[in-house]
Amino acid sequence: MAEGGDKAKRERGEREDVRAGAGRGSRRHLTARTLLVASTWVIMLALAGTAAAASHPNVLNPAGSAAHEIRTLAIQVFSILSVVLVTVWILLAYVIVKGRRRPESKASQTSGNLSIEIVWTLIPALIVAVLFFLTVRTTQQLSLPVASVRFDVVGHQWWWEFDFGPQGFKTANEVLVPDDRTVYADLQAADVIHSFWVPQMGGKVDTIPGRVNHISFTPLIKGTFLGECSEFCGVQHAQMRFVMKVVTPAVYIAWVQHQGQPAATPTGAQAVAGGQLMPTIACGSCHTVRGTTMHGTFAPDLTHFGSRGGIGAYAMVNTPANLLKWLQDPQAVKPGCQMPRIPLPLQQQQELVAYLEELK
Amino acid sequence: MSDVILTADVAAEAARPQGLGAWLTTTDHKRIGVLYLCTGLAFFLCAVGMAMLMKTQLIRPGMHFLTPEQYDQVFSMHGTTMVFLFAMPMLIGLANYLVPLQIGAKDMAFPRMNALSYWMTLFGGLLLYSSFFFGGALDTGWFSYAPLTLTAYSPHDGVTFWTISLALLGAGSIMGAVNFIVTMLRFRAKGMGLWQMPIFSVATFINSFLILFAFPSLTAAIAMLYLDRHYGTVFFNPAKGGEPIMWQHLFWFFGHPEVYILILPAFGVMSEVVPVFSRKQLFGRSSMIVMLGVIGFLGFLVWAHHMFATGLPTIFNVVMAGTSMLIAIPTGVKIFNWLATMWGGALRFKTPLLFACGLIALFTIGGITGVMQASVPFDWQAEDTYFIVGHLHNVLIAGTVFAVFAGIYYWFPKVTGRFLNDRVGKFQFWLTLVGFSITFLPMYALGMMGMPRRVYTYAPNVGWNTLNLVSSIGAYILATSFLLFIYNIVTSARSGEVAGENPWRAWTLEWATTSPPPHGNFRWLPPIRSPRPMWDLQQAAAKGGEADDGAPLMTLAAAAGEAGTVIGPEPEQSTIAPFFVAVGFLLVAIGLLSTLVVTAIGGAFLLLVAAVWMSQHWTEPMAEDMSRHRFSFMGLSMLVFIGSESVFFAALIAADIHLHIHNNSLSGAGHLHATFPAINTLNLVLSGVAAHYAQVSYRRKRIGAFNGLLVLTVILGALFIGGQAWEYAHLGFGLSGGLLASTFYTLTGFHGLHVMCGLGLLVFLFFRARRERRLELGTSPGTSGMVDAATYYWHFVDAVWVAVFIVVYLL
Repeated sequence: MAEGGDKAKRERGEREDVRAGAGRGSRRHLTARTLLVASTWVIMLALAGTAAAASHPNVLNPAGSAAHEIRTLAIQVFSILSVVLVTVWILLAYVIVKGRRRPESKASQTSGNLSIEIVWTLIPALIVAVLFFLTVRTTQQLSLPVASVRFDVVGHQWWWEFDFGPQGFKTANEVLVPDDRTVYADLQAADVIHSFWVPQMGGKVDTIPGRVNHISFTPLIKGTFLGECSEFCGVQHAQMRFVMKVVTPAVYIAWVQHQGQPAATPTGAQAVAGGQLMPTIACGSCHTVRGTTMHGTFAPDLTHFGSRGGIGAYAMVNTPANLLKWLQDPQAVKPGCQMPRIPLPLQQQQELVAYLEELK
Repeated sequence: MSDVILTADVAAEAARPQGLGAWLTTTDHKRIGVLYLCTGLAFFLCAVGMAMLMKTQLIRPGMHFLTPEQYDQVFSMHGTTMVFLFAMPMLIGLANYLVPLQIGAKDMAFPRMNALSYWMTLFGGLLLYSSFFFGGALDTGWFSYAPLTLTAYSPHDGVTFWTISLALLGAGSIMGAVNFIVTMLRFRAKGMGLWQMPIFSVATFINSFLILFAFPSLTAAIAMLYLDRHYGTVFFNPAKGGEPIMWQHLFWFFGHPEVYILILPAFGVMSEVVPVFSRKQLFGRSSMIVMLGVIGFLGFLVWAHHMFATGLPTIFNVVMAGTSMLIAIPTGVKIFNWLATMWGGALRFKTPLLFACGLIALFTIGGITGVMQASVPFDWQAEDTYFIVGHLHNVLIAGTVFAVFAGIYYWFPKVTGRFLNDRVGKFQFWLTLVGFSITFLPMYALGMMGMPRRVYTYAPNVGWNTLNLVSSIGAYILATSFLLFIYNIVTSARSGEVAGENPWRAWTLEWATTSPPPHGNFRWLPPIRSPRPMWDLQQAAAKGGEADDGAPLMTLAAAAGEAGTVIGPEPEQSTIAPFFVAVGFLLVAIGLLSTLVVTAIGGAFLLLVAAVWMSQHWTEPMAEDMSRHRFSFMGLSMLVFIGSESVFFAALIAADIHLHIHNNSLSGAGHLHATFPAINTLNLVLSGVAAHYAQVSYRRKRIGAFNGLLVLTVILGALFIGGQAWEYAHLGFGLSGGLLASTFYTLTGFHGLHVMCGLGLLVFLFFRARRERRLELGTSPGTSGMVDAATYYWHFVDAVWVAVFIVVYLL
């Protein structure tokens, strides 16, 4: 028994030593570690901040009405909640600093305090009420207003169809909209769920097969804005981009009228050859070029492909060199996409490139 | 005298069998807990490896390290593994080990079912991973939205493997939940009320209800997906009247409570660790318990916040935003209570407390970004971007994983008798903290900069390159810290500093026994008068002259002059039956993936092993005081299980009604004849009456009447099934006959399956009762419990039929 008691005392003494030892040495360690962590944070925040500032397609760099409302809401909500976060951090730092040196005999034995607990239940409740009010208010402000510019969007694996039915054309992966007019789109999907998102214009809305959703916003700043599919939709979800260009109403009207025209007649020698070649090979079974015999609807409409900025839903920028690469092996650029390799001699590939680039 | 008892039992512990056979046949909750923990850690390493593959691919745009197909499998399996094969097994493993110890019990209420739960989990995980070898694993994300998951868009078997594996995992989890609930309701040590259980046990108790009510929704969803993929049903096929969005409702009704399932036990660990290392009792214990319940309850009311962008009605979105924000209140209260616990305490910064503080500092960021996303318009920007990826990892790593680390550093001495190396632990903590911060905090920025999630590459000229590179570097640091953790475990298990019974001088019952505890857990229990029995004992011992509260238990007992309760050694019962039942389920599962012949073999094997299980000689580890209860723990467990199955049928019925609302042409009343089924219903109702009187007869010990009425119940039930079969044969459409066929066959089919299981149960009960009568035992408590259980189940099946009948034939 005595042995056990001695052993216990020795163990207890060791524990005290460990505690004391931990006190001396670890104060240096704690400072070093705190500095290390604090510095990683400062670097992270700096990086994040610089990266975030005035970049595209940044949610915090709005160019449309809806994105503006949402940014305001985000700032309001984040500001309120940061106060909570910083309070927690300050309290944590305080209890740590005060508590590490306290001997056990001085540890208090309080088990609760009803008044304090009520206070820190009610304060979060109040904060939640305020946040909820702000949320509801912004949600109502974003409800869909009457639209003057209207088109349909259909999400496909892995490209975006823009259908201007009343104006008589379809295009793909690129759409122009006039600034300062409300845009209203009907959103559908041809196969699986996709999500239509232009971060600088507003929030995203899913395109769900069997259902028609709607999106509405008013572009406020002219420019070119990136859009992305934002719901995992299969192997090429990562390269299902599109571009929305905000232009003056005059430019918009001109674009719409031009898009309604059938395909341009090719003029260059190679382009003419390409124009004669293309309907004779497989292209027309998937693609449409209005004014020719190619009427496929499975793949993007190519009638005015030459005036678009991207290939394969912006998997590549539209240049003749890139288009040649795409035609030679679309699977190398966008593995798993729906366009098969079509083996052709180089000469014919170049003719096709020339033709497609003349389809402005 | 008491020391002699303890020494003798430690010797007995060393003689416990250790080989593979011992581990395959164990029913000891502590060994099962260790199995769960080791399995969880093994899958953790797999999932971390997958994370490293992804982060390497994303170092810069246009990397060809992984093909898109590979990347999609990796991100899908990473998520599924982390949720179902790491986090859940770790938390359930800790709970398995600790709950019986914390409540002063010898084991769980159903030790064999406990083992079965583990083997189901292991086999489910192995089956899931086998998909890599059979045409590719799941590649549609851990929440797998339809219709991408239908065979038209996902022809290979990965999705099917996922559905079947999840069914195995879910079954194991639900069995575990029933086990925990019944154990804690019925087998607490004398003097410990439900409210006095340690908070980790309370958290597990509440968590078990979440598992019980959430998983059936997943089961319903994956059953429908499996049928859509392989039997031509059209639940999620929009071309045939199905509704893709219904998958999301069903999945997230499970999925959101699932993340609370992953955090409630973590909060429980916090409430154990923070007080002990602050040398101060938990502040606001009552409110902590209430808030756990509030979080659990509210967790079922928020699922559609994952669907804000799907175009649901605004009012619905706004309500879900409100309920989602409400959860911030109980969570905030808990954070403040932990801070208040530390306030005025004497903080001892061992590794567990470091992780606890890390949780308070960093989990709160995740909580805040969660509330931001509850704000619907902001979510419309943040949803499906890296902002969400940052948020979810923030709460899961700085929440669940930090708490798991804290718990393991805290309880490792109890489980192995050795400390984890604390210096390595502290270094690991800081490395994890730094690694986590560098990996995941930039993701919030990336999300705001427009980067979507689940992308194998990204556009090279939009400004995302630097932060992705930084995040990937952080991931390497974080992964290293995890390897360090594993290293600590492996080396400390062998050569760590020896720990005694109560090395942390803690206050709950798991510390009132040896490290590790013997089979049966305790040889002596202190009197239980408060939530901190060991604190009370230490205080009494101090008054009696023993100042060291870390002294051996018997020393404290002697100094305190407490007689306590002496408990004899518990003989170990080992059986291979749980393992083989799991094998049976695995065969059934494999058959569903290949050919139904294997399913039939598996089913037959199951029946055989189940018969062996139910007739093998088995002594319940703990006796119930039946004077205080209306029905035995067997009956109770069936009632709990029925709660779970009710949600399964509710999910199927809800799906049916949803489809009705969106498809005017879908009408059972219009296309089905209700007369025959209505008559058939009489069979089932009469059988329910017979079952009731059979139960009454058994209670009154009128065995002849009992036998007769039982046979009548079975005959009428069989007639019902026969009638169903006749109806199926004369319907004129099969499973692939369209929307009505899909809903009709699933509702009546799953109900019929439940009836057949019930018939099996009743038949078995008949033979068991006859065997006892032959042995002149009269009515035994065990069989009485089974009679209760079988009758409740049968009444449940009756009640469900009424609901199914109305929905299928009259709507």
